[in-house]
Amino acid sequence: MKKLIILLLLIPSITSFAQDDLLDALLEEQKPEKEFAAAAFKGTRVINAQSLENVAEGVLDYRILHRFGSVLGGAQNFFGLDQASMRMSFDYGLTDRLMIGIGRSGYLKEFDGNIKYKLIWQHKGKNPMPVTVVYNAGTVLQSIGFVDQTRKNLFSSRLGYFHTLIIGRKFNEGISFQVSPSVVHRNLVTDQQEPNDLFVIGIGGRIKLNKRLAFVADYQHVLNSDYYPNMNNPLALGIDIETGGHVFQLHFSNSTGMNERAVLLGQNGSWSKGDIRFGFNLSRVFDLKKRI
Amino acid sequence: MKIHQLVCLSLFGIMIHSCAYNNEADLYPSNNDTLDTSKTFTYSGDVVPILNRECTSCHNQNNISGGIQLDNYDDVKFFANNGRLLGSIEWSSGFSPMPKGGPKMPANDITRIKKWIEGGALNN
Repeated sequence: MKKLIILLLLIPSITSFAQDDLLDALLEEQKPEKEFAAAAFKGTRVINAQSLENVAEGVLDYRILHRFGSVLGGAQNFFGLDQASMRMSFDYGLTDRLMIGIGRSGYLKEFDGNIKYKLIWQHKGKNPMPVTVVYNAGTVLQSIGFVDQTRKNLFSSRLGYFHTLIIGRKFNEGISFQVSPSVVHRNLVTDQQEPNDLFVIGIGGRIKLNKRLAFVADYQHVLNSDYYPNMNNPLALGIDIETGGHVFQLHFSNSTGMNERAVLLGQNGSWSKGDIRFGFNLSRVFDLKKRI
Repeated sequence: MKIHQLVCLSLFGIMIHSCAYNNEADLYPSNNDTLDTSKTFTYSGDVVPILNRECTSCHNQNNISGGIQLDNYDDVKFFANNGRLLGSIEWSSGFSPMPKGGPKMPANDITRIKKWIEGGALNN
């Protein structure tokens, strides 16, 4: 009898062990084999440069970028805020790895389009991958009229191209860093000495300050800039503010241009002389794909 | 073939299709001819096209970079007469070299502006 009572008392604990095992097994089954790194940066751009991030499949990202005038304009020009240059763009995720985008900048009336593909995606779990590698390529079309209308102007002279490989890593929840070598090509330059291709190395990073705020910075260095003795490479420092579906990026930079060509060759000011400008990027995402 | 692969390939094709390595000096050699400096240089014929190409994208009514506007005769004349226009494009010491961040303007264009100023910076 005693044995029977002991057995009866043990049954619930055995079954509970069994339940735990079953639950563990179930959880193990549910746990994804690969855990992909997400939100290394809050948007598709660090500030000026393209970031590691794509928009997800079926998501449309509408971005409005503003760059104001130089702060050296003084109080009369409200430290540059009287003058604004704007770019707006639409980025759409065809898949989680592939995104296409179009944009239009007021500066030089330029249109641009790009394709961005995540070749390698940082993940934990099975066969972990420490970095993300993204390929971004696109075209810039200058629609401003040719200055000399009397000569035979070619359509190709309006075009420029860029190819960028972005290699980066989200080290932890707070810190992400990327390096991005790129080539920017212009079909038409001034003379034989001016290079059609510019080779550029860029770096960018993000440090999360709290749940809503992050410090971001990016810098691009033109390697073959001998032809431009006064060239100032673009450097931007800013903060990301996340407010639900919006991401605000407030920053200071020395560049007026907002696409891959103009950011390098858009009459950049000098940080050391204080010739910088305030700007902001605003992003709003729309989920166009019905999710169950 | 998946639709996104097709989109990628087509866009990539468009991109490399019209890639060219041109420069204005080779494409439009007549612009490099020796400049006849004895002629009269005019504001509308010589100066405005150069300003539109090199300056007014940053120095216009809506974007007065550095407080300098170069899209109308009165302002251009003001900066021509106080020497800042020529000082900047010739990269003389004490002036902010222009076009900012870009290469020096072609020598013939600098000469055109210089001769126009020497001729009295007239609205011709």
